[in-house]
Amino acid sequence: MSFRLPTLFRQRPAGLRLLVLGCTLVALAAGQPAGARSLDDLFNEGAAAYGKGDYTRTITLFTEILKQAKPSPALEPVYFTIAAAKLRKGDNDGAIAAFRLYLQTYPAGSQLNDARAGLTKALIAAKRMPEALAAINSLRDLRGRSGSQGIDNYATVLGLTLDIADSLLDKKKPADALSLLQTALRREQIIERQRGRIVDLDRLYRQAVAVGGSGDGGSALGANRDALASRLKDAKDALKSVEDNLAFDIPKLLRQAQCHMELGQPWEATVVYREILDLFPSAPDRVYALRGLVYARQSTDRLPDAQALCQRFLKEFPSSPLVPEMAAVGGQIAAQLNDNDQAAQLFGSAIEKSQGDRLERVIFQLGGVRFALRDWAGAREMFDRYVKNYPKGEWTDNAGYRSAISWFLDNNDADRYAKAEKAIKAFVDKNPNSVYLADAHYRLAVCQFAFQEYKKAIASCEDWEKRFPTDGMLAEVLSLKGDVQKTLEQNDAAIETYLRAASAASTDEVLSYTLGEAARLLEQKKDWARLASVFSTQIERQPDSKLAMGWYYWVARAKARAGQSGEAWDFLSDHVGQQIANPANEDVEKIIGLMAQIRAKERTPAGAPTPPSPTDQLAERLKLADDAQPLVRARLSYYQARVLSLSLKPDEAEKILLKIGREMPAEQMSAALLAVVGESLCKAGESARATPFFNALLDRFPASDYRDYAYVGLGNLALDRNEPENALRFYDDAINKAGAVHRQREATVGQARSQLALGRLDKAAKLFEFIAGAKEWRGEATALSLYYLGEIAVKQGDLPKGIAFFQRVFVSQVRYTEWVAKSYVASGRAFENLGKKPEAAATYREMLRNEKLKDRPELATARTRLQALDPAAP
Amino acid sequence: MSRLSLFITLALLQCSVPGMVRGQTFYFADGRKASLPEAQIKGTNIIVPFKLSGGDGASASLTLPISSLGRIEWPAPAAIAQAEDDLKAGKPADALKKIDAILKEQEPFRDVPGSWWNQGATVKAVALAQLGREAEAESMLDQMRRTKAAPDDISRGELAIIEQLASSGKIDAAKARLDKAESTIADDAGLASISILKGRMFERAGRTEEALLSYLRVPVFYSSEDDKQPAALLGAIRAYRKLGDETRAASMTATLTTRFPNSPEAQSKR
Repeated sequence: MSFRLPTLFRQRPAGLRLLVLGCTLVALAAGQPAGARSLDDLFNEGAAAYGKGDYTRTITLFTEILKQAKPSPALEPVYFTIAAAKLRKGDNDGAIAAFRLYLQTYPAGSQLNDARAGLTKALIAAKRMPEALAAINSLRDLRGRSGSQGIDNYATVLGLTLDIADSLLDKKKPADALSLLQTALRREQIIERQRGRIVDLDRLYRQAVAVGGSGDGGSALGANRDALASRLKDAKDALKSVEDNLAFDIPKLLRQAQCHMELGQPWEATVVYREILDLFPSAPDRVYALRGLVYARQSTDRLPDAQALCQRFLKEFPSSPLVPEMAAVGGQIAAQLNDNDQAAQLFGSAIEKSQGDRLERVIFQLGGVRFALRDWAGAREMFDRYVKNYPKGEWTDNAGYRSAISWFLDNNDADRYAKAEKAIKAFVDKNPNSVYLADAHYRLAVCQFAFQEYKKAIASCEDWEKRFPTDGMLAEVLSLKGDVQKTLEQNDAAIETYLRAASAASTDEVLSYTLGEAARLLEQKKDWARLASVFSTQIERQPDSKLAMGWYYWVARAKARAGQSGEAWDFLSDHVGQQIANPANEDVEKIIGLMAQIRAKERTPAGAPTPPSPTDQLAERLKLADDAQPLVRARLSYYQARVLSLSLKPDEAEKILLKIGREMPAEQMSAALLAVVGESLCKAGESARATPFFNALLDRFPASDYRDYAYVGLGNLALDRNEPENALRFYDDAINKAGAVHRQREATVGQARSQLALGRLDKAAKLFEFIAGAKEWRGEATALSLYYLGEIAVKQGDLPKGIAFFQRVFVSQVRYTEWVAKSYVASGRAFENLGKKPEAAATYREMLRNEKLKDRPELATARTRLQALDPAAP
Repeated sequence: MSRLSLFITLALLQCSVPGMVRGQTFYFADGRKASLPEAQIKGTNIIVPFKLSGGDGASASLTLPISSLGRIEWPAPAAIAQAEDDLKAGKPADALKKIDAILKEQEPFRDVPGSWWNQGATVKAVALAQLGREAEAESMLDQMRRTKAAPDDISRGELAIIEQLASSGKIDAAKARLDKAESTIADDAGLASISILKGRMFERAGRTEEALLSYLRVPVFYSSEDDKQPAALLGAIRAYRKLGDETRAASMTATLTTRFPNSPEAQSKR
């Protein structure tokens, strides 16, 4: 915390008033030489000098009194005033000695506590903090005192307390500072005691008036009366200033909270900061409390709360100099919460007003969140700025490398590999000692693979292995090499490379990928024995791996393919039971799927008894009771749905999935069930039921491969609600956050439809062209895309182009009647708009003749239009 | 003033010169003074004996109504401290037994400055509340209000009733009373008690974080209220545990057992 906390109001050095007792000093004269001024004269002159601020003269005259007078209680004010004058003069050491002399001479003096306060102040001014702390401790029991044992200005003590606390905090002694602050009086306690003190001073003043009259101050009694009047006025002023300052306690509370933070007590600090915000909702100094509360909540890991507080800060104090700091902290918290949009926005506003170290950090952080958001151009802008402005900065290597690989990661850039290769090579040349060299060379090999320079890519992988034999990326590099070999159809070599990669893998992701690729090649090779052996060995090696169920799957698949279906089914049923109640194991559904495949292929011989239902068979095998938990029952139903689906009974399968969605609690289902059931509900139009399934999938399984189902499902629902902006965000997340493992086509279609709904015709057209051209996505997505490309062309005024797209649909996509029907109608309309009525009528007639469209609602439109064009038409 | 009354006044003053003041001293509003055991309390009067002039040792007594007292000086009855200890130890029934005798003794002086009735009544109200006898506790508080007892004493009894309501599941009633009490309580002990009470209510409602923040107000803002610390620290320890913060729970347990080793809360942690 680099700033200074606010202080109390500027105070007069109260408590250092001249005090004169109601007696004459003449009686104290000891052998006064003839012609010398009387003690009363000396006193009056000294007092007058004090009043005029001539403290040197006061000290001289009062010191002379002490020389001439006999020791007496009546000299108490003289001692006190000398000390006060020295303090006011800035002679701190002199004041310390003088106050100590007073306290020693008059241990029960009437200004005992004022003297203690004066001594404390002088010690603080002399920076003698340990002594100051001891001195202020002598004032601690003021809590319970008032009257003659009190002090004229209680607020002064708080001011001194804050000064000492600041000094202790500077010296990293928060425990001492806290202990001091906790004994300080609160505003209402100060007011109460100050009022008591005023009553006492008023009484003394009235007595002095009664004794000394109300004449001018020429006598000691008059001086005493006047001094009391002055003290009374000061005490009243002090009271008023405390009463007027409703936020009086804030400086103390802020320091107390700071102590708690420095002592690692963020919960206690939270209590204090909240107290400030609750009690002083409009005090300007609450800005510090809000700032402190952000850090306290962050320290207690209450990140959403801390983030909300940052937002509140920026809203309530938009012109505070602390805005850049709060925006930067807010950005950091948002990034921790994976709210990268928010983080980018906050870092963006922090950058505008930050300087120095913070600016350096925020530039890098903004680059980082843009990188996470896949805003590659934006990330590069920040990383390049960082490298340029801070060539020797803490994160220069990282920023430079991330800038270079941002090209590599930009899926939307057709030239990404060429650009990436150039940038990465430039980085390697410029940073020959970078810690990212191994990664850089791996990515360069990937670029070669992308350029179809397969031999070069293999050579690069081998070269990499020689240069970085112990690097942790070995498994990834071998995996790449295996991919290249597979592309070159060097399948035997690829199998061995993948298996080597699996042995070197340090992450489940690489292990799963490389074993899966090896398995597919072995399957292709029909090498069932090796396939079973690879995964059996893997199970023996890592029986507790969370991937183990997937390995059982491959062993069983090998057995099934080898003709041992029954054995495979038994093998799977023996193992699936171990995990069937575990919602986190996503391989269970995969195994159930394989078991369903095996079961669906079984044929009951003629005359044999009807076999039990798939569900009953599996339940019996797993010894499951009727009251098994919902997840287990849902998985059994899923098994049955898969069997039905594979037995070409998709409607029955769908009914079972919908039943799961209607009867089972989303919060207990597995990721795969949430995905497929949510999708079924969505297709059935049960959006209210589908939404909790998708939300549960995202909330409970943040790393699941099935998340793209949820993003796509939520996107579809948003599009149905005519919220294309929202929908687009979900579809983007399906691709960017979830990798669109299962639903890439649907996500891309969703993106295209959202862009179209947003009126961004060019972007939409680009996406629809991509979908229509993707061989692996041939089907309804192609029909839909061609139709929309026609619509876009019509919107852009190119009716012939639109008609060409529509015709492509009803010529080449006849299976997809919805899009065929829509295309006929759209084509007819386009002809009409072109003024080509015969062509339009011919289109409508052709549509009406199409038997496959007899149930389509669009036929009514075609008939109406045809009647309009050709009233004689039947 | 009649001759007799002047004479009596002088006699009374004679028997109460400095150095002769006994444990219990009665100061009458008219300046007269008398002490036990020479003087006797009978019903609503104090019987003050005096010697008649004449030197034959004859004596008489004067009956002065208690209502004519200006103040009394009465040493603190040991039973009050003992009953307070019983309350701290969670033995309200024992406290009640001890305090009843004191209240009976102090009853005639209830409205006289210097009486210990209010302190005893406070203990009784708290004990009754802790025993679940809320109606009787309430009645005690009413009596205290009528005798213009110190607001802090009344608050203490009030908070004991609220605590009892909360712990017996009458949360709404407890909340309503607490809201009302909060606006009138200003002393540190009372404010600390409110924080503990709120902490317990939050805790019972499963609002652990709010409970923790409420308990922590006691060590943070009322650190000099030693009597209140153990309960607050113990509550905070429970809350930390529920929040899964074992480190802070352990640190606070160390504070509890080191700073307040003899408290029942510290004993429960051993």
